[in-house]
Amino acid sequence: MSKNKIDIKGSVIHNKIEVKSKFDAEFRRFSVERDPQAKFEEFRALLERLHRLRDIAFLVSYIDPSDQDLLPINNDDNLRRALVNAKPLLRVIIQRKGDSLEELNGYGTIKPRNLISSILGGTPGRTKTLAISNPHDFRQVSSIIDVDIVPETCRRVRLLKHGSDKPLGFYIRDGTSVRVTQSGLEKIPGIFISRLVPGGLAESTGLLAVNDEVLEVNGIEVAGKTLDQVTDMMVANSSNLIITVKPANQRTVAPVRRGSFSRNSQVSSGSHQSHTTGGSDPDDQDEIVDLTAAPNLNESHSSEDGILHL
Amino acid sequence: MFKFIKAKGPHPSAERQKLQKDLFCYRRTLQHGFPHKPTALAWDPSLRLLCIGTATGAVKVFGRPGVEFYGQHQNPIPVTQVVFLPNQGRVVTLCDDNSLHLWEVNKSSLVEVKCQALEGKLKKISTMCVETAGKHLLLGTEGGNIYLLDLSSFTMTPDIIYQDVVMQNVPQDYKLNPGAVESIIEQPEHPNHILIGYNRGLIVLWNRDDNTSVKTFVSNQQLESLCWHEDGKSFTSSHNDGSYMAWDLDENKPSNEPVTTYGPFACRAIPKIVRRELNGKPLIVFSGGLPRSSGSDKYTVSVIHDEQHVAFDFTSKVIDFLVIDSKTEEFDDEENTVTNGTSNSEPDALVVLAEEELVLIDLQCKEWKMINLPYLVSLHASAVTCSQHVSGVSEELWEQLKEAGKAQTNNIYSNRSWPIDGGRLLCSKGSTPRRELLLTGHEDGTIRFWDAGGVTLTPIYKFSTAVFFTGDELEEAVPDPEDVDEDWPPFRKIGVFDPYSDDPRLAVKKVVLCPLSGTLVVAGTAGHVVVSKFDTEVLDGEVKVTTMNIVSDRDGFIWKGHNQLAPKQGEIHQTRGFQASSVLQLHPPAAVTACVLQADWGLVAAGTAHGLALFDYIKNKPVMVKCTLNPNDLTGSGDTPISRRKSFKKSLRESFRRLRKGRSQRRANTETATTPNSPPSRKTDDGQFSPLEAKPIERQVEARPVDDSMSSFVRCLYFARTFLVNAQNTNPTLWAGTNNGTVYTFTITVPSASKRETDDVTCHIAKEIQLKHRAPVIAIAVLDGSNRPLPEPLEVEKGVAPLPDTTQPHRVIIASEEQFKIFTLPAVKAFCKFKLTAQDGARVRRMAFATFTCKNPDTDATHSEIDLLCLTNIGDCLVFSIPDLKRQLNAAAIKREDINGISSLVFTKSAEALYLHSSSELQRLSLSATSATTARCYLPQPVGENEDATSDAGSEGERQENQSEVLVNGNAEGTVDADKTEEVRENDEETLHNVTVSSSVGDITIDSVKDYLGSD
Repeated sequence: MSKNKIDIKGSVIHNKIEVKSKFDAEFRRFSVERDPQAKFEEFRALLERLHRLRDIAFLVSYIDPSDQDLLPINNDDNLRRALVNAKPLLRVIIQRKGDSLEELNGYGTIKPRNLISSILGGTPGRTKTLAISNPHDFRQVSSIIDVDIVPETCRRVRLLKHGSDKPLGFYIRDGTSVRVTQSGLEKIPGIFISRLVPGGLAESTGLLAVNDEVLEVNGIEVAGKTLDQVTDMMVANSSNLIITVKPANQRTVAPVRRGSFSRNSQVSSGSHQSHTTGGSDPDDQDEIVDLTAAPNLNESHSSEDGILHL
Repeated sequence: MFKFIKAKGPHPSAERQKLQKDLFCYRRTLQHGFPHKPTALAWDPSLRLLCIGTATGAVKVFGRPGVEFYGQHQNPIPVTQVVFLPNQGRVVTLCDDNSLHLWEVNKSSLVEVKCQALEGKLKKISTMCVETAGKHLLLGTEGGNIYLLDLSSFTMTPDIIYQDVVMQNVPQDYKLNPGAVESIIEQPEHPNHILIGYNRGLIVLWNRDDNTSVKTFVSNQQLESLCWHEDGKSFTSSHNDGSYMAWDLDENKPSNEPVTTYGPFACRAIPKIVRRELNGKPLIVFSGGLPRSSGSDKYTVSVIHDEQHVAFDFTSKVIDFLVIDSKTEEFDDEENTVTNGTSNSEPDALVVLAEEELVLIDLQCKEWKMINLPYLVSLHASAVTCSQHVSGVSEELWEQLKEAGKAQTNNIYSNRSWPIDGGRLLCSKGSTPRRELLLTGHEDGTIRFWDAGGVTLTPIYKFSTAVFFTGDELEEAVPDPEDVDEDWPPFRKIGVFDPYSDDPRLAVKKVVLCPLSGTLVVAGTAGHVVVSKFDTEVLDGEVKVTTMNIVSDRDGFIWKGHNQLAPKQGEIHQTRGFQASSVLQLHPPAAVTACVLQADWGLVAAGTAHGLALFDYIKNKPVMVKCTLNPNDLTGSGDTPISRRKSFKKSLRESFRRLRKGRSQRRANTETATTPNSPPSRKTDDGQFSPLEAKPIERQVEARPVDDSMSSFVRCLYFARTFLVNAQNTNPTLWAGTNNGTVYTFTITVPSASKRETDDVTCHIAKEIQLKHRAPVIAIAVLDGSNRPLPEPLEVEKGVAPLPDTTQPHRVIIASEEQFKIFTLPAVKAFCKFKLTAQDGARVRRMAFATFTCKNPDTDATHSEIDLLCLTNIGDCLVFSIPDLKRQLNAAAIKREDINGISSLVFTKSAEALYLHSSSELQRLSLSATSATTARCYLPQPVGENEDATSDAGSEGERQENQSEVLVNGNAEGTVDADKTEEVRENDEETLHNVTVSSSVGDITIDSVKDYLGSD
């Protein structure tokens, strides 16, 4: 599984780092290559194998040699950081998910509490702070994208639904927007956000607001389209919705719009990493259940659980 | 072949672009059926043409079957009157806005040449009359004056017949203001004498040469219409009180007492009367005139001749009527310059234009039977609920069907030929006409078969499913000519328009015809499916009824909708034609939402809101049911989209509230205005209306819910013999798509022909495909190894189509409302897709395939390809190449508001489409550049008097050119250029619906590129 070469003997080779990992009362000693491109997933898989953690949800952290803080390893970046800082060896602590105090209280140096208060406070029971999830438990629900391409007055927002049952939670309406053109001010029909559903995805991101003008949906301009068409476009893209809006509070400084209104706007050119499609579109994979009793002769797509993920 | 032009990459090659232009072209061609809301009727006795104007500003001229010219006013307002300029092929129309328009038949369309608007209230035109000389048009007005319009310049002349001048010679005792001009008619043989009838009963015979009144007649009833007798020395007037009277020019008084046919009690007005001589005896035809008390809900035209008297009783309002003369045989019609009603011809037929249908009554025939219409047939005799286009009907079935149809209408119609026979066809000789059928399903459970291969859409045959079910009054009411009521007035029901349905459950939802086996399947609203076979022998016997319970595996399901229809017990007599062999009733009896027939396997599949059923109609045995309901949802909400209805109700309520609010506010405003101390300020006004603006129309943006009450709807079904289990053998399969993007596939084992009668058909579920985007699945089709859709059942066996290519893997196209997606079989691996909704915001409503052909002028080789046709919810017709799904054509065909039009559209295999333009009329359009059904006709050059001789000469040349072609009428598969010249334009439609032959450059999104790359 792991492509990293593992030297169990632990011989000190310049290019390798000694690792000592602890889970419950068990220790493992091994080494990994000092690879600036180390992958967290591979490292994690290695630990899983060594500690036989196949069915256990666990968290990985290490003790930073400089200040003895317990810090998490949960992505490529902090793994690499850990490998760089590891002197003389990398001490890895593996904890069951949920057992870790740091998970609840945050990592890093805990600021020494006021000495007096800690003495006077009597009860050492820490005040229950708000539980904050680890970054790896977060799910991206929205982002501002293509900041370098989209004009300052516009904002391109991506809403990711990810199968959560939280509604997208916004409504759109017809309206008129005033644009500055060569022939002076011009009133153009446009599509606007009319309201946000409290608790919906759109409201919780804070990136969309009532009266924002919708300019594009997934890279396609909405100019000349009816409200129903725009609604249908948004629904069709609802799993990975990218809307370019002109925020309401900036509309007064609207610049002259460049170029023509083609099907694909200039605003969106070059930004197409944002909407992945094609055969491998992860958002659009249909589920196929094969119920034919006969063995599927097409080996490449046979699957143990009968579900083909294409 | 022509593989090299298949563009690799998103940019089509120049060659492909040229080919696109040769293959694809959007045109609106013909209109079939009866015009919506007709308002005016006219007849040209010399050219024998009929003209109809409508409430939407359309003008249509009809001659012999196949001769049709359409025009459309720029302003779509009602046409109130039309008159022909006899023998010129020109029409003058009067519109509701008091404007006059001159139309001319130009090649194959009717074009507006000139237009003149009259202003002023007193100049509101009430009646029009064309001079026999054809120089002027006399315009009678509401104000009482008569104006003259010069027809050559189409401008008003200074000559005006003032009412004051006419009144000077009126007897002193007539003190009234005579009112509006009701009627102007020229005296036969004396073109200088015109008879002017005024509203208040004054009738004046006016000499136009010396501007004097020759004679004055006064009636004490309000005048409705006037009509000369054939002798030219007497005339008849009809009046407001339902009476008419005859006048002699030599006397001042009526020659006899006023006749009130339906008196003595108060009667309704007679808006029009015609008196002619038939076989030496007077023939009187008038509309209305019924007693006020009893006949108030009837629309009649009464015909009185000798002893015979019939009040023809129409189901819709009578707009106008005409009496057509027989053709005078002595002359060629070109030389036959008939003056108004003075020919030696006899009244031949009565033409009645009612609001919903046209009826011709044969006056020569003793029983005054109807004449079978070759065109202008009311499609909506009962409301159209579904339609299906069938091509490739065998000659044998066609003839037998026609025979069977003739037998059905035998005693209803007169045998004589169609009397409206003006114009000429560019046609005949040689090639065979296309055998295409249009099947329309109706609200009353009937299926009508129409000949849809030519210019005229004529009814062929009718099949009724109502006879297989018992109901209150399901017996068909055949208009029986013997059924003349003994009571007075002597009513006789006439016409075919019957808007009343006996039982809404009978309404046809789906109709499928296999023309090769002569099998017809009709599926209706009460979950019933009637399977019938064509037979030329009479059949007496019981029809087997089978019930299949779709929700048998769901406990606790409660159906709250309508009951199923009760099948008729005992023997049913079935005449030759389609005869039901089995009736399938689905439980719950929700409307059938999808239905397919596989005549080769003897199977029928039907889907409803709850699931689907597969039925073996050879053995009359159920094969399989599959419930598509979500196991957690057993509400059995039925087929009514409750949420939608609720929201509709809500929106209605809201709009009423808004209306009421607006009204009350307006009233409040006027009240405040009247109170002196509080001048209504603008500010408060705005404030009051702001609540209306505060809640504009808005749309919720939300992903499709996983569970929806409508998700179980079976939207489409499809039979195919393809690779589903493995890549080695093809199997009979059934595919079903639902409203939430699920596709169920089944394998079927059909016993071999020898064991078909004994062994059972079995069916097992094979695969379930859940489309991630969950949009309703609209259509499914399998492409063979050469990317052609699989042939229809029996097509291979009958040698109509070649065997499908099984050397290459098959692919399946699954069209959902949002996208087209192609999967390879048997693995169901995504191959390529086109996300229409994500790009255009338009949803797929219909998918079909059609063959496009064109000839390469350089090599003379014929190129032919099959493409995918698509109709969207905004009324666009799209053409995509297969299997790469590249957009080839995008034409805005139907207005997006026209929901009925969009939902009724059917594509044909030759890339034409038909949709309901109105409830009674079909519009035909073509997406192919080379094949279209167009009216190929012309008017013989009218004699003289044509001012625009130059322009006419030009078109004449064109005509001769066209005449040299040998063509079957309507089957215009000739050269492209010839077709282009024949193109029918609807002036304003053409500008409304812009067409783009897409070079597909504008269509590229990164999505499509990625799709393309991903597909390789």
